[in-house]
Amino acid sequence: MAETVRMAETPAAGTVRGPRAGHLRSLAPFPLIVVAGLILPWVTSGAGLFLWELIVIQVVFALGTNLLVGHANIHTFGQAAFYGVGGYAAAVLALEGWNAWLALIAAIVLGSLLGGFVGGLTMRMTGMGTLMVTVAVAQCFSMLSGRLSVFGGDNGLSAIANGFPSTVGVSYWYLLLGICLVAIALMWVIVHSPFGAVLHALRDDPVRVVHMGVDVRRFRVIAFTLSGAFCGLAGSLAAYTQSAVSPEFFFWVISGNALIMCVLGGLNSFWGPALGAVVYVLLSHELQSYFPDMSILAMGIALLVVVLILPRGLVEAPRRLALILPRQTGRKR
Amino acid sequence: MESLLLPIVNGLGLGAVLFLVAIGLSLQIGVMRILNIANGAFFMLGAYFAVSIFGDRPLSVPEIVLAVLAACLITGLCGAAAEVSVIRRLYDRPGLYPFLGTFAVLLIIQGIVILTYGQIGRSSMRSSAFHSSISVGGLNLSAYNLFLIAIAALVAAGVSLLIHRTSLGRKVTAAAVDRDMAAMLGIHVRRVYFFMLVLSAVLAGLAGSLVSPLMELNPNMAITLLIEALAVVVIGGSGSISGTFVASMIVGILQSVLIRFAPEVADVSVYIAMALIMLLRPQGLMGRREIGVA
Repeated sequence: MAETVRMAETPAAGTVRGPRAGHLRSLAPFPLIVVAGLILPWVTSGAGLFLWELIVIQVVFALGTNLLVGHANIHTFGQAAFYGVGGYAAAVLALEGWNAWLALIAAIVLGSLLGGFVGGLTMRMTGMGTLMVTVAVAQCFSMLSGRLSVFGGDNGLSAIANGFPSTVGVSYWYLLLGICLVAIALMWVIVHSPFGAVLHALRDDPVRVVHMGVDVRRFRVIAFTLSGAFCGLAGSLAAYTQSAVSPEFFFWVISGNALIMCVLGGLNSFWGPALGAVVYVLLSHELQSYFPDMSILAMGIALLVVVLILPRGLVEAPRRLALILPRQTGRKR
Repeated sequence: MESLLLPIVNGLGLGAVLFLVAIGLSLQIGVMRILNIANGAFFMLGAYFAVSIFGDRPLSVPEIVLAVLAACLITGLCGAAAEVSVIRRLYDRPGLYPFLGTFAVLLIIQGIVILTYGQIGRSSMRSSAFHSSISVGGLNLSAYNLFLIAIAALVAAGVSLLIHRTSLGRKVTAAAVDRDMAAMLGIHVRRVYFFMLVLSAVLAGLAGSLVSPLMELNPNMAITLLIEALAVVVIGGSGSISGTFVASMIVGILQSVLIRFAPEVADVSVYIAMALIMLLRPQGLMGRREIGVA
């Protein structure tokens, strides 16, 4: 476990600040996202806007995953379970004629309940055990959803009337953006709360945290519950936006995507997974449209490059470049 | 009784395939503390190699043996290449990175298979030998299933002998118990790891090539079987050879019997069994310590 200490987030050299100053500085991207989201409909529309709708949903999904993976170092390969439960809950309830907001809340609640269940199941495990159990849970759901007729079998459910006052176009974008911004802000508060501090401590030195008398199991269960809520929200929004759900919501591909987005952007920062989600969805969209057969290979190579060369993700890239470049110019002299 | 015996033999055949993939995972978790999901990719490679060596024509028995051996060999080479180029760099990484690295290897191999063979399923090895049956006490049992069971039992005995009775096995155990101390005593831990990974890849390739007559090949087979094998490892207890063997056979029989009598719950039953084991006996059937304690 001593190895995890090395990965601990350390402040950049020479910028030792109080925790509050550091916290507020990390809020800087938030207004930028708000402004970019507000002017986006003037830049793009139709399919372009739909792509960005998917991107903000994946941002929520990635941030929800990173609460476990990045902030608490709890390994998971089964985020698709929460995503899919959220998606199916919203879809089934909306088709039953529920109010869209109620269905959304039900999806969040079910996601968090499942999160709590998985957290309880893996309470005593670390690392690999948790990975194996989470992936098995997601697989279980994907099999069940393909078989039960309530869930539409292998074809899933489609034509979900999401029931929001504005179902398509610019006003839906603003609605979706609003929901996601609230979720992101909530996540920021959670990560920077005393609870988040305990999670960071668990990540950086679990042994010491145990010896300080913290009930680690309780915090793991709560972290899973919260992550399940956020991923369930992402799944339900995806179901509304695509107006369809299928057993693919539960596939390991979704769990893999969640991890790739997190590590691509940077596990140890708050905004890294958001950046990772944007880059990942754009990249895979382009690949899908130009080289459909190449997309899995390209994703594998991208993941490998990040793991081997840029373990702190794209948010570290500028700093890494800044370290490398002067050295090279120095050599030329 | 007859109606129960047939699914049980079929289940043991399925369990044999599961075992060959799960034993590699289990050993790597026990010795290297790494969850190598690229093992699923080696399983898939074994199947594709075995099928593509002689093309689509019906094969004779010697040709099948040759195809399987060649597939194992090539898969082993692929495993060695993956170890040297990528996985070797992952052992010392903290947190989730080793897992992510092997995930990347899995995606890359899957991507290459998609580029070479296409997304769609592919027909498997054909031979009359796969359909022959042996009559035991008035029951017609598939000879191929019995053969699979024999192979799995042989591999289990072989790996067990290797770990418990040879000097190489003692080195493996030493590296598993205390890596730094083993290195200090002059054991090439890296070499031990390399050997374990290639052995796992060869066994996964063997599983793939042996299963190829029984199922349609597609690029998704890598991970679907792997997830089942992971459940087997959890049930059996990671690092335990006998536990993995017993768990594979139980899971195989469970699935095969349930497909006969309650097909709706057959494939989910593995995960329900896994959840029960975790609640009642978290270290697995025959595991000695808590799963995943690094």
